[in-house]
Amino acid sequence: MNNIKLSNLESIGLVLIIIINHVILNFSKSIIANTGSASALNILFIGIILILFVQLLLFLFKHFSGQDILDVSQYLGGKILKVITGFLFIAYYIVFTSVLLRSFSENLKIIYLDKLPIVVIVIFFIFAITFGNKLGFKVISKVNLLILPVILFCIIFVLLANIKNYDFNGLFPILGSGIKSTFITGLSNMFAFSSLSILYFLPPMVEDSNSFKKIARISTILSVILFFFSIVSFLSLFPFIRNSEEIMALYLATRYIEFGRFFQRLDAIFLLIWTVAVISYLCIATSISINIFKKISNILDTNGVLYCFAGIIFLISLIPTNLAQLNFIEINIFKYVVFILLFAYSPLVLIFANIKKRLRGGKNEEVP
Amino acid sequence: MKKFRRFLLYILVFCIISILIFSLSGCYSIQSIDDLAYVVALGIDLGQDNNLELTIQLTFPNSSDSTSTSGEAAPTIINSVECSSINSGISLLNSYISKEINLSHCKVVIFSEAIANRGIGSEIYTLSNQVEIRPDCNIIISKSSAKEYITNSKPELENLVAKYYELTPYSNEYTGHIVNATISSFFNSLSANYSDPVAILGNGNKLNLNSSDTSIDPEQEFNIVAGQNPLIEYDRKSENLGVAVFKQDKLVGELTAFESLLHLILTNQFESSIISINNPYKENSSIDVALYYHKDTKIDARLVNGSPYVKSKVYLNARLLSVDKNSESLTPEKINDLEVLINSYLENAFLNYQYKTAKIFEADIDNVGKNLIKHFKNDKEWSDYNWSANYKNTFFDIDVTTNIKSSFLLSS
Repeated sequence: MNNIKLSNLESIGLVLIIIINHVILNFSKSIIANTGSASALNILFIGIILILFVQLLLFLFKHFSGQDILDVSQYLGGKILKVITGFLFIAYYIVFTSVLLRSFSENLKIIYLDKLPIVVIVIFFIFAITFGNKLGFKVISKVNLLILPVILFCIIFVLLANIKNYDFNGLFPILGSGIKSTFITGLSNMFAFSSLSILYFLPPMVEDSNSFKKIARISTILSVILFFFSIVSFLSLFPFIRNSEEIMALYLATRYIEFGRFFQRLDAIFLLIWTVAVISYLCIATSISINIFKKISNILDTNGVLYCFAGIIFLISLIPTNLAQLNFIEINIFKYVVFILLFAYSPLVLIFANIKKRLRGGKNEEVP
Repeated sequence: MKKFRRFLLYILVFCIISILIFSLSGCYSIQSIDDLAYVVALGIDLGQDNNLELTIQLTFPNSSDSTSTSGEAAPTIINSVECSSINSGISLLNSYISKEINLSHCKVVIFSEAIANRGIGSEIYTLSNQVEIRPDCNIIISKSSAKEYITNSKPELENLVAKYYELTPYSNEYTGHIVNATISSFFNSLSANYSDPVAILGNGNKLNLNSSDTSIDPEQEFNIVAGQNPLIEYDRKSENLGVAVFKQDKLVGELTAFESLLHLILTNQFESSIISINNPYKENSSIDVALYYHKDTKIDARLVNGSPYVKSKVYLNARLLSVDKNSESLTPEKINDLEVLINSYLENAFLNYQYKTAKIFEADIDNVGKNLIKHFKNDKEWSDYNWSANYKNTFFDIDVTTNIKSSFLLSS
């Protein structure tokens, strides 16, 4: 992966496609369940914290120009810490990619493919992951950049086409379940921005540190904006969203779209486009996992690893027996894992690495 | 050689995928349009021992083909079954008919008044949970049985009964006498803690025909509901007129055609309608006024001394329909007088209507709660206030601004 160089747009695209998938796969629901009508306020608050957090990351990466979190871990704790960090991220990507794959497959099954066994739907995505990754990370990121405008347009179109159905009184009471749940316990909603995990692996792939700064800031701001508008839209559109367990809210929003009496039932086309978005996301997550593994194990040929990871994703995605288990994993496990790994463990590694560097004599010391 | 081997590999992979997709995806058992029986109307009555009586109206997939004679209504089939729930009823019916029942083209769901009085919450949640049922499917509460309503729904101007069901609710755009109540709007109001749902009021068995010898008060002409329509020559027995008012999931009352118009104005669904008011310049005559949407109604709700106080501002455009050769010129003074008259007439009507919903029905069908909720800091404060129980204590005030633009072709 160190040899791959991505343009700024491709890098921003990687972060955005993950956020888009989180919107498609109803992460908004988990946020609204947590903070109720105050979710929009909560996202704004979290957005400010995230921008500050990204600033902190940029500051911490400043002395490790062109190095990712694995290099920094190696500098701090040697090969052992590098392997630990690598496996933590691989486990995170593989497990939650599997869960999200199963979640989307279940939604597809409910909506259109009710007679198709879930295993067939999952296999279809596994094939897509395998073929995508055979073509390499650069191709994936280029294709992702190609489809991203279409997917973004579709989401914005769905949100705007429903504007006549919006009732912004759904954003009240402004503090939802209370100040504490909005600003303190609501901080756990940061899990929705787990797409920022890519930032830990981007530095070696971008042109220079200035590009990295630009990418990190722009992608964070765009992610916050996208989530904010989707939350506002769902709260304004569905009064029941606060206390019901619905499937993809974005899909429900497409069912409301109608232009006069002629243009109705546009949902099928959106579902097709979102399937492409999910495939792109799955390819990116798998590709990053493979590259992490390659980096910690120093293997040259990643084909075997690809088939292994595709098989593991396939098997893990079949473990949950129902949607309730998937929701439990998404809401109760994913939330805390993201918080610990992305917003606690990794920044701590960076902080201690910076301290070590300062103690050892400053900025220009060679990193092994 | 290497290229050839790679090519062979791709062919092999392609074949494997094709075999997997076609063998595992069940394409061999795929359903075509000919295998499905499309329901266009679903009727739900109260059966014996608190069961449901489910009625479905099916249409033939090829009933709109070119071979059918012009003007001949496409045939439909009506089947009923006694069941414990909607899904079990459909399952039972599925075992009796040759095709699989599909609800994706269901245009209306009709509930009888009896079952609506008992509460239709579970049925609405069941229907909202169905992928096949579209959110724009209309909900009708029939004063007669739902089966009677469906049986007597015979389209006169359309060949397809589905088209008839689809178009009928849109008459609210030019009459204002019904609401375009859909499953999604009903479900949204039912699941929100600040509003109550409404449905279209229908009747499948015409109750009485008003004889033409009784004099008609123009201001009361539209104070009728389904079943009281003064039509003299009319074959079809089913009709929609007025609004069924719900308190949560229970039917608590009905609004007349005129009150339906007021409801549409207050909820910003109004487009146009005609009202008649007594002519102040000439005894025993009326002025017909065409009302049009001008601006959204603004509802300001707040708590005054612990009681909800609601001030609504209604903005309408109007054109005069009644002119005769004795009509005086539409001078600015006269237009101003007429505006004051219309405003005063509508303000009285609005206040009567709003107090009726609050004091008699205790149902917030005009979404007043949505405007009040912003004055509460959090959900606990709002739920402690218990809006559902407090709506009856609401005080209303209204300000109607009507702009008479002109009459139509004959301005004076």
